[in-house]
Amino acid sequence: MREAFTLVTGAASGFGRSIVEKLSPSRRLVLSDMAAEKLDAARSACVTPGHLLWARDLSRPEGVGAEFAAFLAKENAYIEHFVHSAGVFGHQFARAHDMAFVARVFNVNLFSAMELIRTLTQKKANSGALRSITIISSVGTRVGATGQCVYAASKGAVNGMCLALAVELAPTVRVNAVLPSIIESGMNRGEFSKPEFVAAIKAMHPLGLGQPGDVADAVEFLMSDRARWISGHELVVDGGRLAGKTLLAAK
Amino acid sequence: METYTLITGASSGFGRSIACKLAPSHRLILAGRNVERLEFVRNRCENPERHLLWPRDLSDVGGLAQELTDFLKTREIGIEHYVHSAGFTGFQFARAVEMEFVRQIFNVNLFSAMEIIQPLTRKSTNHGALRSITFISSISGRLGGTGLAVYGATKGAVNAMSISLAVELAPDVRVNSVLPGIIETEMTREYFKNPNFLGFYPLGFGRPEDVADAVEFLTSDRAHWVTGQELVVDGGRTVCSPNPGEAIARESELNARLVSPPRQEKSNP
Repeated sequence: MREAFTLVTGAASGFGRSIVEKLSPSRRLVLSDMAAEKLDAARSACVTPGHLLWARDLSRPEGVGAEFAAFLAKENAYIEHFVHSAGVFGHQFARAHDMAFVARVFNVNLFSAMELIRTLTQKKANSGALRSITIISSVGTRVGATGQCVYAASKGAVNGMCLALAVELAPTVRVNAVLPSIIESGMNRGEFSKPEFVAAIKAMHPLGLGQPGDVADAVEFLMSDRARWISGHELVVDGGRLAGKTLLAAK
Repeated sequence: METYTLITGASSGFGRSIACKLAPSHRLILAGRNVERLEFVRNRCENPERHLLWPRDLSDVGGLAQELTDFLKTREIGIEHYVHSAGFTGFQFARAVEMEFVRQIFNVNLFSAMEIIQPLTRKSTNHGALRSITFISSISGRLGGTGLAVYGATKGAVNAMSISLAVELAPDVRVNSVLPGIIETEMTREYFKNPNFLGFYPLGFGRPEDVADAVEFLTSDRAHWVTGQELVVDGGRTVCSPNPGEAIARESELNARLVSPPRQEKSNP
């Protein structure tokens, strides 16, 4: 009999790793990331057995859909929930846009998800098993920042895609996005090592510093049946930053 | 140095309407794929002799920044306002998304703008002349629809890009986007065959001029304290979610009021 899994991309680090920790006790997971060793470590940290690994570099989206379909057939598995947490972040000024960087950001953050969603919504590949898609977006789609144009554009694209998919795939599949503010993770560990950076981040967030687990909690909720009437939603997880941005900026 | 307003997608739809609206008060660079169609638009504009043409297919972005740099340098001109109106749409179901379609639509709607903004924000090329960027986005960045995942993604990307640029390029450059509802243009004509459309537009259908008016405002000094905003021009579509009965009733009422025949435009060569 085919078994139901939850696919988590970007599973070896950052939010993805935290999502894996949160979900692994109750769900069987397919952990995906580019480095096989790191994936192994993430699986070893799970308290339950039976999780699968799919090592794939999503900065080359060509063939991702077909390869994942082959993986599902080989493992006799299907995907009930998809969490796209893989992401590339980076600063680049408008006057210095480098199209290779643009391609990498969009390939990982958006186009690879499109490839996977195509496979996951095809009856022959996934037997109509899909019930939810949850994508990690960013509050960078709500507030602008210098050097964020490319990254924010990729996340704005994610939001637009989620809305359309929420309509297209209803009522069988719910599609939502989580919009975290800046949280310490693998992507920005360098910046978080500077005390003045941490102090500035703290001042931006009325609820203080966030943790990857805060994002994982939101993902777990959106996937669950408790969110059965929620689709096309952008769930902001930002410690009150958007609510307080005007006053705090004036401090 | 003479400064110009660059309009992409100028040969049809919103772009043509924006060109005609701005022509009396701006020197224009009209960009589009087809030089004959651009010539046709230039001749419909006021002061045609003042406007330049830049024929370029934006579905291929390779070398775009350099070509624009050369275009400006050889003429010793700068760009003061940039309106990105080039864009295309298309329906594609999630289960059948083709990456070649994705690449093309992202090139035209988003990546070409990134390439164009690069020289426009460089001192060495544009001498700090840029004052505003206005994107034609879509309410598809706000509303979902079947088959619109890819198109909606391009417009969501444009909206997010424009708020980041608004912060990065302030206070010299203002960056805004206009989010039209579906307006009848060459691009959307076939969607108008769907009889259920009208009931969702409290003000009825819009015209390309409605979008051009919004662009003119955002480009002008009257909007000098407006940046990072999404100006929705949609006849009320995004605030209207009628139940089926209401939609049908409103549609028949609006249909009854539509006495004038569709505007006839001069045909393109």
